[in-house]
Amino acid sequence: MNRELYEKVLFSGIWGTCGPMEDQACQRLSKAVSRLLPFLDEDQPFYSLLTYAASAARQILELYSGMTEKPVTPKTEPVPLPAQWKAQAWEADGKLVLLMDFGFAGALVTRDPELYQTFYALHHCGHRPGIGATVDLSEESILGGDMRITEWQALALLDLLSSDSST
Amino acid sequence: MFNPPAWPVMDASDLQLILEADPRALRGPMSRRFAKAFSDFTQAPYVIPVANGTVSLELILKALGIGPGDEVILPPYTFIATFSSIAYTGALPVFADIEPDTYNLSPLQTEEKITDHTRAIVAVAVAGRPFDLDAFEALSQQYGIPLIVDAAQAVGAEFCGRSIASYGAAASFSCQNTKNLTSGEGGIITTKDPVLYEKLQSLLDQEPGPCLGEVPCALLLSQLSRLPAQMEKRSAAADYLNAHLADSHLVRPLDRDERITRDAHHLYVLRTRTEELAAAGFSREDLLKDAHQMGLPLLAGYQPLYALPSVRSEMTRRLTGRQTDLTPLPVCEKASYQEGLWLEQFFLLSEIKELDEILEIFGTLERRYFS
Repeated sequence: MNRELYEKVLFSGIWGTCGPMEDQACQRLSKAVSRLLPFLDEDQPFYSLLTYAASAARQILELYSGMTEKPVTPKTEPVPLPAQWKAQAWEADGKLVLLMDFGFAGALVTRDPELYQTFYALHHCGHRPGIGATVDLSEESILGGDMRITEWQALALLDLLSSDSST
Repeated sequence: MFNPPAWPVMDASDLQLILEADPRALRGPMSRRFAKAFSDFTQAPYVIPVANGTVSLELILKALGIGPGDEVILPPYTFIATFSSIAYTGALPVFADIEPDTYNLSPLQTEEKITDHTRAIVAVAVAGRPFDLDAFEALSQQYGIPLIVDAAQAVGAEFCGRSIASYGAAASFSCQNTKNLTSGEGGIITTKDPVLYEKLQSLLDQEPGPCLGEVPCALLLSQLSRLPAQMEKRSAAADYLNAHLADSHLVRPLDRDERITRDAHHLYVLRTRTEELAAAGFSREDLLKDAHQMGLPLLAGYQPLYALPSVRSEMTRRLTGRQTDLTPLPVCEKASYQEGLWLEQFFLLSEIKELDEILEIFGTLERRYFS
């Protein structure tokens, strides 16, 4: 545990969702996936979305499936990643999504910006990226749940990504 | 601009506990220590810390066996999570109107919505003020329908001297960043029912992901030690503001209910005196705008859930199997669009000098509108 980082987060007062550590962890994870899975990489960047548990990330995929009425089919072959990571590739409309399980948190990684926007709203009470957790949902059309992570989980994920030399 | 006290509150004692926690673990010693401390605080025999105040409701509903084909009654004047947690089980959310003098779910309106398919009532302690728990427990017993207490905003609240955590089949709390007891995100389930507790634990045995992490549990443990003093301060501030606004022509505080022995005051709620303002040619929107310009960030509060695009969406209809009745409900309409005014809880941690500044803003606007 990096005492300085935990001290920094504690005294920032930003402990919940949409914080800077979550942002860093998302960026770091996107880069790691891009390096580890070059065969998936085209020109677009990867977007990472973190959830408090892998089961919450799975719930997002299931809800997305319900929305489009086009079933999302899990691929049977696991994606090769470092030993501590568990990941499964899912496919929707030809778009690939990685469902990741870190034990203490989960993630969805995609390179489709539209899919990312939808997933984000589903994991954050219907709010779009960059809006924050306001009470005004008058223009949001997706019934989202609360699958957000804490800054504390983001710190733990950053630590995990840092400790794995392959990332 | 009026500057409220900083929120959340923290010091080195929080850090000390955090550093003792395993950041990758679930259901560890910090979780057990916090559950014990919260049980002592609320007198609720069973406590489960979970990831947030939405999944807590989802877990309670699942443990009660609620799913497709069932109906669950809720108020439309609440956060979207109350609705989404029901819809995600596949059950049909059914709206009942709120009470005009409290903005909490009306027992009479709720009873009118009970059908053969009703499997639960989720009543919300809006702003941290307990609803009529006597009436809802009586309804629950009369019809054999479990009462779920959505106490997301009501940590520490008491009704007739009993913790809100001890009412209903189970109670659900939120520890999101703005809440009176916070770890950034987090939720707490309390129940006095050992069978329901075992079902909840069984769900978490199968899928431990929704459990709250050890670091937020450690933080809640240290934050809980501050809560009683903060509650005293909020109550004193609310009483002070209520007393000084009792004769205002602009606003009126919520009605007092002697059975509420402790209001958690997550929000300080006022009602606009709409008729008097309208007679002078003004509205709540003028009051909101002018208060903002004077540095007081009053909020208009919830919109009715039935008016939200996400609730009216095809996705929601598919989740619940049928379309929820989206007919506007008159009391909620008035609260949402004409009357309701909120100040966030940390304003109630202000000193008297700052509270007087708030009162001065109301006084200035009253003189402006009625001169």
